[in-house]
Amino acid sequence: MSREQEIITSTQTGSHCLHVRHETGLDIYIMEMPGYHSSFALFGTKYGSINTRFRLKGEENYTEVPEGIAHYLEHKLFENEDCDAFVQYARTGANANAYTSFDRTAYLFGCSENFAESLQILLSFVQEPYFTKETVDKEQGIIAQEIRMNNDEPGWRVFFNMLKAMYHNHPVRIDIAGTEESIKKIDADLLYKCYNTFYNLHNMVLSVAGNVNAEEVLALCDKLLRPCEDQGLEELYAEEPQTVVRNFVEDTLPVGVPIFNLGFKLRPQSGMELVRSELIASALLEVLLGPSSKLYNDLLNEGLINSEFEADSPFTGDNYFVLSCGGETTEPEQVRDRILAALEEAKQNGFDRESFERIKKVHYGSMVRSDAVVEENASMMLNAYMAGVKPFSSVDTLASITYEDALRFLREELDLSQHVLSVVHG
Amino acid sequence: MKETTQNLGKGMDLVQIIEPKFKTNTIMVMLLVPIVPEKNASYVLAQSMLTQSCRKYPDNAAMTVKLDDMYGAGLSAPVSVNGSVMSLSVRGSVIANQCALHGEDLLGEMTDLMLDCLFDPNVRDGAFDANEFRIQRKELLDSIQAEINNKRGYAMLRARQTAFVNEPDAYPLYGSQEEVEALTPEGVYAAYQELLRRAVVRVYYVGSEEPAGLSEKLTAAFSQIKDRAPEALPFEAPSPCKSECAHVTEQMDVSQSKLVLAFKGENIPGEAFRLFSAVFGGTPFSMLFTNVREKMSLCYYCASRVIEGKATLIVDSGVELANAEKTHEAVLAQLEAVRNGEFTDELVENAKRFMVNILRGIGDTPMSCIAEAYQRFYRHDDADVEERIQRYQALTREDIIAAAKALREDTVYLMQQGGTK
Repeated sequence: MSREQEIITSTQTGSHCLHVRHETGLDIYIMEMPGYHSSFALFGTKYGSINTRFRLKGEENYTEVPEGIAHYLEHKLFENEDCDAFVQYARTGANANAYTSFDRTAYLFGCSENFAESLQILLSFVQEPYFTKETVDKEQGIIAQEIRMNNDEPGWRVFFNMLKAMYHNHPVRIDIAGTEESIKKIDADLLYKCYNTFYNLHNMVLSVAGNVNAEEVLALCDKLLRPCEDQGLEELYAEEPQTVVRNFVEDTLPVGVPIFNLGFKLRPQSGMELVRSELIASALLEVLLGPSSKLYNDLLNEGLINSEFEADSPFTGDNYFVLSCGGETTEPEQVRDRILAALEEAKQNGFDRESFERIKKVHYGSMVRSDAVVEENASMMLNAYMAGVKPFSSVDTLASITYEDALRFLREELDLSQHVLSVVHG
Repeated sequence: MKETTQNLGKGMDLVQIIEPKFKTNTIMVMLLVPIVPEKNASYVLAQSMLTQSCRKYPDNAAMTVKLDDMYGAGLSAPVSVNGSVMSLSVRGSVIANQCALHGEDLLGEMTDLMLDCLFDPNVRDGAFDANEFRIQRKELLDSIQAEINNKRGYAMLRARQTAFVNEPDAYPLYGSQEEVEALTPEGVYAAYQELLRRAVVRVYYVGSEEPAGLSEKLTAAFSQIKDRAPEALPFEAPSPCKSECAHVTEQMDVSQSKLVLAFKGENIPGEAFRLFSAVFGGTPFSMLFTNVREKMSLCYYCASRVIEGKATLIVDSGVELANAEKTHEAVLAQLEAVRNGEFTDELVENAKRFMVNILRGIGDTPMSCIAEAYQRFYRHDDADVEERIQRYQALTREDIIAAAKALREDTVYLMQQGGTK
């Protein structure tokens, strides 16, 4: 089979990987890491909980599917006609799993031997769906318990409550696993419809790293990947206002100390603009709210927060962009007011330039750490594909962001009125 | 990879693992003591004080700035339990010198910082700094209160308290709220001095470069401690099985119930016990996963794990209350099936491959190197990875059946959904 390929090298760390555009339409990223025993592989599709409304080239109407179906499909794909993929992996010793998030589903395994055999299993079962009424119905109980487990998690609840209070229409506001009601509407036909739409190799990526040999990986891909046509997938997101639904939401669960998330709704971005903005936004939050900031230490000294308080990584994807922070406090409204005041002050008067440069060093250190970890590299390449950029874009862009970029971002992109405070009390 | 062990004095060893592929250097100083329950609170609080500030960096802000300057170096104070031994550690991790952008000696800085934390803490007139103490005590109190937030973890904690009742490790690791509230800066500093005298010290260094002068600096620092008397460490503290299984039920306002079962057995060899668990419930192809989750659709998770040093196996599951008894019976039925040899040879071979895969992956991260080296220490077992793999390969289905037969049900804990605690 024919392939287009290129070596992509990080200008900052010197690390490199191979990118292959396979004839079948699949993007393949391979990072050989000499000296490592283990390998890690991810086979992912741009299909997550937000992809609820779509159509293919030539279709007039959009299809709308029940909440939680991408996650349901992930569960069911492990089961083929002959046997469960976990049973097949058991024969190679690999440690396999899968996850569904807002904008992607990925099937993965890690191993320290029998890599080729495990990769063969991965490439095979993801391309061989098998859904029947019986197998689909059987999963209802398992997923219902997963939904209940998540609902009992205060961290999960406080985050989703925040998203629901922030987004009017965007499906990022729905739970990844759906609800006990919505999953009852899922049947084998709907699963096939979603599978055939999103599990098209033109919409997918294979990312492998560690003790792997590129030629061996590509030979297996040539053998196992099934050519498919680009179906011209189109997705529709309901129009989303720039404003939040409400500024405050609260809930109760058994918790020892109340927990909170404070989030800000930002203008959605994509591609390299988003890569830069994510780096700038994380550095900004770290400078203004992180453990070395004046605000953090004032709140800590006054007993209003503890070390659980932290600024989260930017939460971004197709048409959503959220900056948030959170932790434990008995006085969430007071903490919110102090954070808003500190951000407003920084908007007006700027912030410490030296701190900003120091935080850039911290981010560089974090990327160097990840660079030596097999799983992190495989995930980094998958994330780059999902974001529509090249691997190493983050680490290579980091050096070029400036204090002036950050100040502009703070003043122009962060609208403090568009915040949501979400609290879970005991 | 090159590993060396060097004795630095009474009850104190330095283990150095040099692996050129790593891009970070990690130093972990472990202080190991037999658990004395009433000392837990003061020891844990003392240890947490060490990494928040020291005399040179006297508050959280100053310490964070220092760590940030070192490219976001990590400094933490993990605490764990093995058998009836408490491990209180200070761990520092920093990117390797060759990755520094301006030629800084980051490893040297990290070594000095850790020694400052351990031997020049934020102390005045024989007491920890009062303000830093106040912050850290609140931190510990919040941690105790927040244990309930993670329902699976909390259910496990409560089950352990019943399973190991009247044993030192049943006691809350962080002490009780009342004990923490009663602590003073003087008392906690005195507890730290005592800890330094009582503890067996294991120092692990894992990195890409030789740490210049580390052993000399550690020797000099620890030699300042007078009257060091490291105590014997009860890593093996098998928990006796109760004559009658204990049943504990608690109500909580949650939407999913949690079922935790503890089984105990005497004299089950370590490898056989762990392989049994992999067959029974420790893998996604195990009997519990295949039957209780996949075939019976009773739960999202139903898994087993061995608690080392306690001769105990824990099974935990999140279930609908109406299915709790059915799940309990299903777990017991699977255990009975193992006892009766009702499992395939293929399952045994798959479990062995699973264990081998984990073992061969050791050495790809600094923490896996430290964990493996520490395991050899607390198991009093010098076998290297290859030897351990051979031990697993030599096990038979009879060893697994024997492990299952040796186990008796000791504790049934149920967190019931829908109630109020």
